[in-house]
Amino acid sequence: MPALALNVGANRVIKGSRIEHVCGNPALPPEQDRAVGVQIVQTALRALATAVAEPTLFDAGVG
Amino acid sequence: MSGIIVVHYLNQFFAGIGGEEAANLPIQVHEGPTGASRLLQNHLGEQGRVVATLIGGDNYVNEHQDEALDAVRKILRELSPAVLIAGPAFDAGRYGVACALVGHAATRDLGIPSVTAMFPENPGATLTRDVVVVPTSDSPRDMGRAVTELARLALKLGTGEVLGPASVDGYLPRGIRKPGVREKPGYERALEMLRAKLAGESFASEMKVVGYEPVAAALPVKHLKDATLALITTGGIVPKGNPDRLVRGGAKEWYRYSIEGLDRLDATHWDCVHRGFYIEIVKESPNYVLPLDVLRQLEGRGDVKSLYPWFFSTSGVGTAVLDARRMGEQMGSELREARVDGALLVAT
Repeated sequence: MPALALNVGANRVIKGSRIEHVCGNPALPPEQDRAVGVQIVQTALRALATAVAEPTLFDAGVG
Repeated sequence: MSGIIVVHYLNQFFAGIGGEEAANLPIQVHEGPTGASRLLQNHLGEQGRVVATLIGGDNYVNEHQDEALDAVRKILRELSPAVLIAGPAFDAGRYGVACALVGHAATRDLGIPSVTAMFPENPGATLTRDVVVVPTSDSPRDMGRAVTELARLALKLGTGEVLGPASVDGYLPRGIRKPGVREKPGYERALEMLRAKLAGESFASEMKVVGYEPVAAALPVKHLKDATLALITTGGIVPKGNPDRLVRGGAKEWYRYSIEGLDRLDATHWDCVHRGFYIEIVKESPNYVLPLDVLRQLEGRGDVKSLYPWFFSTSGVGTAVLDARRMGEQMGSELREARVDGALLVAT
């Protein structure tokens, strides 16, 4: 729930897949499920390496 | 039946449809009261008529806000109620946020006054000024009083009555100021407050600053390839058997568990303890809320240097703000001492 995280003041926020499976998608075949997780985590790493001045949403480009 | 026209928004649980497994329910309309709206109708009596119950799954409304609110607006335009009532949500975070969003859409977009009820620490409580929020306790044991207050304020709003100040009419202050004349000039009231404060007596601030405090953003990690990262989850991942007895909600503690030598978390050795979402998928694969498998892969490739050998875990539902702040400070303090460069926190 990224809007909530931003509202509370988290400075680097990445939108995950779904509440019940944040870093992946079990509805997809295993390889693609894993690829979703990789995309989300890599976006998180990018966020860690990015300077931000205020709560910022980073788009992982999934779902 | 007489009375003003009322529409009541409920989540899947209070509408009597189901629990977490029904949390993805798209917006539905039920003619007349159903589930908890029957209690509301009793309290409205002859003065208000619940012509429809609007129902939304807690996950659906939060994850598909645009579609959900489009559907809500469409239905409300047809029904044209005098007031929209949402909840009570108590401390259910997704439900509270949904109530605030639905009320905001009704009031801001359609000019229909709205009122909801929830625990003041519910994230939905400070989301919008357009919705009147009745404070409740954190438990549905407070249902009777909450519905009484909802009905009372809804009838006022629905008949065009102007609400009194928050402290008088029993709702959360919204920072809306209306000009008026007080008995004493400002300097006298301020000096009286100061005198009381110095004497250790109680006093009431006229204007409270509401909201979360901003936290300065940490500087970016300079070289990820040289960085040690830590993993944190509020998804309630614990070793099988929950040896530390992590609670399913309202956690005041967090725990650290070793990931030394582990490439991923499996269902045999790990479990999920959390009352705020459907946990069966995460029980099967805890990596969904603690992506150790992905991070080991990236570590192996050299994208990051190493992972801190412990992950931190708690269950992030119904967590008091003060406890959350303390736990975060404790986690940050340990990671800073260990010279960890960054942390990934997965929340559900």
